[in-house]
Amino acid sequence: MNGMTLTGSWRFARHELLLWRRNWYGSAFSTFIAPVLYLIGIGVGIGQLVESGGTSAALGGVSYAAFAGTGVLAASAMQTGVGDLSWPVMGAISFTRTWVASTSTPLTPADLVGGKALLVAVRLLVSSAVFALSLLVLGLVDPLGALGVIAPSVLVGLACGTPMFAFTARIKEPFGIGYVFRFLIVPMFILSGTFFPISELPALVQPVAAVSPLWHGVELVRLGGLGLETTWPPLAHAAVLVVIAILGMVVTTRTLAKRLHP
Amino acid sequence: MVSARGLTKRFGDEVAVDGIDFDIRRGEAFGFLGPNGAGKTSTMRMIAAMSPTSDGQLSVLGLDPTSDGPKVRQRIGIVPQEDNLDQELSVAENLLFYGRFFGLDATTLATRITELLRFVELWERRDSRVATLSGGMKRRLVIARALINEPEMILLDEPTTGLDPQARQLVWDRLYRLKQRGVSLVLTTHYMDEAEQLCDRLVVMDRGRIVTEGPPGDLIRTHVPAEVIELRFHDGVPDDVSALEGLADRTEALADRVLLYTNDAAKTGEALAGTDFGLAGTLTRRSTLEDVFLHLAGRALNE
Repeated sequence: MNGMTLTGSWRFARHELLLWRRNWYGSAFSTFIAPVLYLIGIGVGIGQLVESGGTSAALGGVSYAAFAGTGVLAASAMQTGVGDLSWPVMGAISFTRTWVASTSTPLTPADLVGGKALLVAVRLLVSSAVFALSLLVLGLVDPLGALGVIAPSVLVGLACGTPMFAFTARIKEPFGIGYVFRFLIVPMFILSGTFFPISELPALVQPVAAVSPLWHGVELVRLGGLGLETTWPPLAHAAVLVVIAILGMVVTTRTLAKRLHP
Repeated sequence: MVSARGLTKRFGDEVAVDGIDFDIRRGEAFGFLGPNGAGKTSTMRMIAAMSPTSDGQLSVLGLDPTSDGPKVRQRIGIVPQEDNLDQELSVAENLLFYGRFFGLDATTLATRITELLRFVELWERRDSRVATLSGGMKRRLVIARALINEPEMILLDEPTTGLDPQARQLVWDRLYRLKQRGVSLVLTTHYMDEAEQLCDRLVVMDRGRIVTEGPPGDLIRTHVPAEVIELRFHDGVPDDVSALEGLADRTEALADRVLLYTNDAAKTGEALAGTDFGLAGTLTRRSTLEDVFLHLAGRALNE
């Protein structure tokens, strides 16, 4: 990641934090309220229907609300990651061109990548903490579980977000982002074990689910929050996410340097 | 301050800057003049450490901008062609966040922001959102922003393109004052009057190469006679203008008019009065850089 410096990334992250504090209400609904509504609607509402059918053994012995709640937490982290690293980045590169201005200072394109990723990590930390608190209040996790879901949520948000970051840094026209949401993010949201174990999927589709970073994240969030056993060893799930996040950052850095400093 | 030898910029197969040499001295106002696509902006971006060189040597403030980009940018000011201000933030906030990227502390920034906004006459508008400013105000704000780090040299890419005459005058006046303070100015323009007003020395670029260089006055004296008579015709420019050639030192037929270059406009005017070309009007003026460019490139600058 040629040219990424700690001071530069920090300066840029501080600026992004300032912008977020000014506009926090703009993303408050999607970050904090919508996931909790989801949690109540799907977890508690559908959970009552499902459990009256008595299928909770397939869920590893936890209630459906707890199962889906932790899944929705991972999915909402993904949404925050890809959301923050798509449209706003596109705007800053191509429309307002404030990122061009930002790199006519001592900051490098790599510093912008580092700073933005740092800020997204902070946003993920805050939103996951709020979500974890809701899980705790609804009695779906114990206090230790509430702490345990946070780190995996931040990780899955970054692992889903940084490939989107790389894609956004490359494309010239905004509609590509819409396609990614429709044809990648939405299927991933549904098929990554968020609402039901992927063992329930047709055998043919199961390997596809396993390449989804969200699935690895869901597994880790359920381990941290509910103590459920993971499909792969926990370190393997974590390694997949870390590698994707780092690769995403490396590719973004190279792409953005060519874009901002052609 | 800047020294280039064989400086080249390629984008794929396309050669934007084709092996140019130039030197810019401390404290001078230096211009890159030429039509769109001549390679001016590409050259500026390389000097600004915002575009790696493809070939040749380039030294800016004794540093290599391709490998030492952040150090170069720390000491220069950059005014891009487009206004890339943050429209959502206020005038003062735009200077604040930009200044922080240079590592300037809050006290220093507060003082400089006040000074700079007064300098560009935007102090009254310090709390306005940028989106509400006029084009001229935005350009002045971009100039103020480029001065936040007290740069030794400021690079301006077409600083007054798209501004109305009053707004241009105000920008020119501020740039002139900066020069008085010893800040080196490097600018690109396709406006001849701008180059004549602001530049001590300039190079004329065309198709990635330097066509000529020197102080504006010298370029005019060297390349064109002192005065021009512009002729317009009732029925458009005649196909054959050879009959006019004997009247002046040189003639140049353009799409809409014919230019007679002469060192003695009175005499040429008299000779012209005795002819019958169906003239709709004549205009006598001093030769300008535009004429130099017409002569050198054989085509109009804003073609």
